[in-house]
Amino acid sequence: MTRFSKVSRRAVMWLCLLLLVAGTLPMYTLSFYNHAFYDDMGFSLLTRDAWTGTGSLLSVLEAAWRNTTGIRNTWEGTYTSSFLSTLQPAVFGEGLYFVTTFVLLTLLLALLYFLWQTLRGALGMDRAGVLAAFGALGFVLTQFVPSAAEGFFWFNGGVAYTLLWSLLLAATGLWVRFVRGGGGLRGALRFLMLLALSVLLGGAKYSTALFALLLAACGTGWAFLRRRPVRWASLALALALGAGLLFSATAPGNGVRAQTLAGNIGVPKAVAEALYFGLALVGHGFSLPLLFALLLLAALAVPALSRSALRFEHPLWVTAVAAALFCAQLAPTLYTGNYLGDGRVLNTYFYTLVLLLSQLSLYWTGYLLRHRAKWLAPALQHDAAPVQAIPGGSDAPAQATADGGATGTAVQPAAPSPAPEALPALPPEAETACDALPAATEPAAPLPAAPPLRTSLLLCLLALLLVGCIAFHPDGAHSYGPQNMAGGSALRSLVTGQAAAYDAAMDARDALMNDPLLTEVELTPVGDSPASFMGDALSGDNLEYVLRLYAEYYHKAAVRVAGQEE
Amino acid sequence: MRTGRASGLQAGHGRAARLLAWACALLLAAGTLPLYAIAFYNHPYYDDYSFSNAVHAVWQTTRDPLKLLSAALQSSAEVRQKWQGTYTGTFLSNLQPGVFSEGLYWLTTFILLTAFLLCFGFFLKTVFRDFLKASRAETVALVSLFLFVATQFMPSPQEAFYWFNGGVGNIFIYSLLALSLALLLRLHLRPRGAARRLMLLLLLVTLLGGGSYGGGLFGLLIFAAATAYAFRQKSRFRFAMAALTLWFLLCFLFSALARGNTLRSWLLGPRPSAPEAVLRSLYYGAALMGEFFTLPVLALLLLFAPALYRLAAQSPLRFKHPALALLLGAGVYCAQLTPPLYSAVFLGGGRIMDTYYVSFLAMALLYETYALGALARRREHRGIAAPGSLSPAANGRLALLCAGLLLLGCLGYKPESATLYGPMNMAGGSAALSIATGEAARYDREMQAREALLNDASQPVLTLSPLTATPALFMEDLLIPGAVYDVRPVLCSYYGKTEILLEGGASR
Repeated sequence: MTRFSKVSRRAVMWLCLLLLVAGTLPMYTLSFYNHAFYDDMGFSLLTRDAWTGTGSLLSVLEAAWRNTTGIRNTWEGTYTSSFLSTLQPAVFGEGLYFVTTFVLLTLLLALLYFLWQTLRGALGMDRAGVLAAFGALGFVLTQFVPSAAEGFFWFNGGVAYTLLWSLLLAATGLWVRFVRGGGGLRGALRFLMLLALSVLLGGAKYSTALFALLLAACGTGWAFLRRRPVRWASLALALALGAGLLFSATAPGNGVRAQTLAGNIGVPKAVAEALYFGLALVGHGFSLPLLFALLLLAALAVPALSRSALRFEHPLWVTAVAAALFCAQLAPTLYTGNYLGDGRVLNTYFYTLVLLLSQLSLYWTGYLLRHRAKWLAPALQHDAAPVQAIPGGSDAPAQATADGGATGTAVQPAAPSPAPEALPALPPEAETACDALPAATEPAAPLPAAPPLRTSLLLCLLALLLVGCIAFHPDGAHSYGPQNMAGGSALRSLVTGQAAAYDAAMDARDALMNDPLLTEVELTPVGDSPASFMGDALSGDNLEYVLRLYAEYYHKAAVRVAGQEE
Repeated sequence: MRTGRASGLQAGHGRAARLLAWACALLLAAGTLPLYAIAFYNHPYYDDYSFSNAVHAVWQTTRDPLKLLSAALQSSAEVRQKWQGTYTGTFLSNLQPGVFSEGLYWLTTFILLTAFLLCFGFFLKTVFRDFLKASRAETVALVSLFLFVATQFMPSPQEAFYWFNGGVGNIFIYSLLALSLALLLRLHLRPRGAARRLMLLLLLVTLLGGGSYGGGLFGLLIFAAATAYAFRQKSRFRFAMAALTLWFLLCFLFSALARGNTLRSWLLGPRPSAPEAVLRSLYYGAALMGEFFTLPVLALLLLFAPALYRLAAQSPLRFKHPALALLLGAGVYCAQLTPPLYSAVFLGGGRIMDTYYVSFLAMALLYETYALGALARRREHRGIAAPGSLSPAANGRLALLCAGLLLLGCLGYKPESATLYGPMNMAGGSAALSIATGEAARYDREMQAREALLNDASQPVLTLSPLTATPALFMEDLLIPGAVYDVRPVLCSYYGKTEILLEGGASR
């Protein structure tokens, strides 16, 4: 029986990566049936004209610039999202719209870079552990997102929120690397990249930009508190981001747009509501798959956390700051009277929740490991045994692989230690060098192999995930189950032929619209569209606007809906 | 017997434990008082009228309780022939408080909610205090928090506690089941008075056999498992338990073989085969377990984990088969879904979902105890000393953490029909809000006006208006244009009207 009592970390890694691939592959496949929708056209009127007229990328960029400045004056100042929205793939060919999902979904999976920098770079976690965490968190992020359609299958909606949130994640990972790394040319390059990202994030939607600014402020405050060498650079980055946000917020178009909305609710009320609804979203966002990912991450990180020089001394403060950061991002939409925002905004709250909780679970695990002698010593006494083998490395499995995985069953738990005093003790210098991230330039000592996971633990976690997937039941769904998850929904659309039928109908429409001989076009709404797609704009409640948009985008004299009188 | 294993462990008796008990009890009181208060504004609804039509007529003319009971029996026999065999729910539905006066309908909540609180409270007290020897403070805390989570986050509190017909056939049956299981356990714990308990159990299983089919099957399987365990343990009551289970089975079969069931299933349309229904119940059972595992439930399970660990470690049970217990428990849980799935009503209405929710909560708590007991035994087997209680500071932090989780769960609570998040969606919060805003009083006024018209014998033809306000905790008004069910024929029959017209709707 002991042969199967442990699972190697490599096996866990492959399992988690397989989960992620199984979840995202149908989404990528489904994207080949997708078509441009609604605001995709409204934002790219100029760029499409430029491309069809000249075929020059420079002209397209110039048109994108013109469009962005125009929107700044008439609608909103979020320059990055306005600019990127003009470059929707269908501008260059209707058949290229699949690029939307490839860009949005793939960039979200830049999560790996963030995890690599935080888990491996800052905590010293083994490669298999990081990749397993990536698979589990990536699976949760992509499969249980509130609106996969607005997150990954609609360029205009996705680029303004999901893509810029992905950039924020990449910027955070890069900042961690920047803090750990030395100076020199690489340091300068990283600073320049961070500067560019800060300017881009300053022009993101206000919820993302505000969150990024507060995160940058926290990072800068920490750097000054700890007298890190990068503190002035961090301040410069935060200022650049703040300047971008200020430039965006003071756009004349914001005033114009505000008049079309319900009206703002005042700053104090917006802050209070942000606090309330932020906590409500945290409570509402709890799910078994999320619990699975957090527990797995914590279990995988135990060896690294035990070795880490970080002291994890202030779990309550850190939790409070994380909660405040999470709530703050809700303030802009609440302030503008837009409640919590649409699905694409809720997506970013969900991403933030998952990532903040994952970091908090690491912090709390670190705290418990440091203080278990004080609080939970008797209960964890036995479970600590495998961890005790780590610091010295002498008890590391003989067959451990270089990347931290372990083969076979060589790992034997150390004999139960009678007292918590035997817990891994931090060297005095580590205690004094509190909160110091390990420098990337230090000569890296070979990390002792992390122990495998208990099979029973992994089975329990997988059971949580399985039950959570079966129980998944978003509002409006007819039944429970994985068919409601993003990948499951995509797979069902593919298998039933729904996606192909939608694609054929939309191809026919695109052919009509792109026929220069037709000046007046009659369109038939496409009724049955995949749940992961935005659907047919002609079926929405803004038909008149959509028809005008079609006419303007495709240069038609008139566009009508079949069967409807003018 | 494993006595004295953890001698000296006196956790659960301290000031902190008493404080926690008070806090949990206050929480329960704060949650349930508005539920009772709003009951005074409630009025009968839909099937209340149709099930008690004959009894109402008898009471109006004779005022004789014996004739009333006779009419109820006769009505139940007719329902058995025409609609379904669940005799307990059918019989009790005849006696809805509105029969005696619409103004007495508040009794519905007082009966259903009180029975729920008392029966489940008694069950938990029997398991954790009488059997596992929890301290009084621990028991109060556990029972209170369990009942708080059970009542406040119930999928459909209106169908459980504010609609006699819906509640008496479902949540009330589960309350009786909890009571019977507690009595079953007490049979072994306190052999004195066994005869009296057995008689009470006989009555209860008779009622349970005629309860809802899901609840009946669920109860029957638990009784069968308990009997098998009693035989294995050579309990002196094993034959009595076997007899009870057999009687339960006979009652259940009597209910299931009613002629009305065939007619009803014909009306409900095609149904899945039995194996398909079983497979579906496994799937949807797992789905419901996942859905019901929310932050408040996590807080409940987490808060009492140290105490349950200690109690299980001290108990005489061996907890040898945690995996088997999990599979068996999950199997029994899923089994209760089979009848509605088999009869093609999917998972059933809100009143049935309520029973799934409550049974999940109880089983999760019991299984947690079993799993922690298994962990304790495993550690003992490996020679690791039984753990002492957590330090006061650790206990305090755990309580704070659980309070935080519970608070987050309350703030994040948003049933599918709600637009906002928060405690105003919880049963108690919803009741308090309805009372505070005057919504409940308005509903009451409008319903009283409607009932005055209906009770006015001088008006054979009436025109009724839709209500302008209905508390979320009450059943929605059916006298509206385009309602799911047309309640007017039933009202005509119940109140002896020739015709009831609906303002803004078609005549009837």
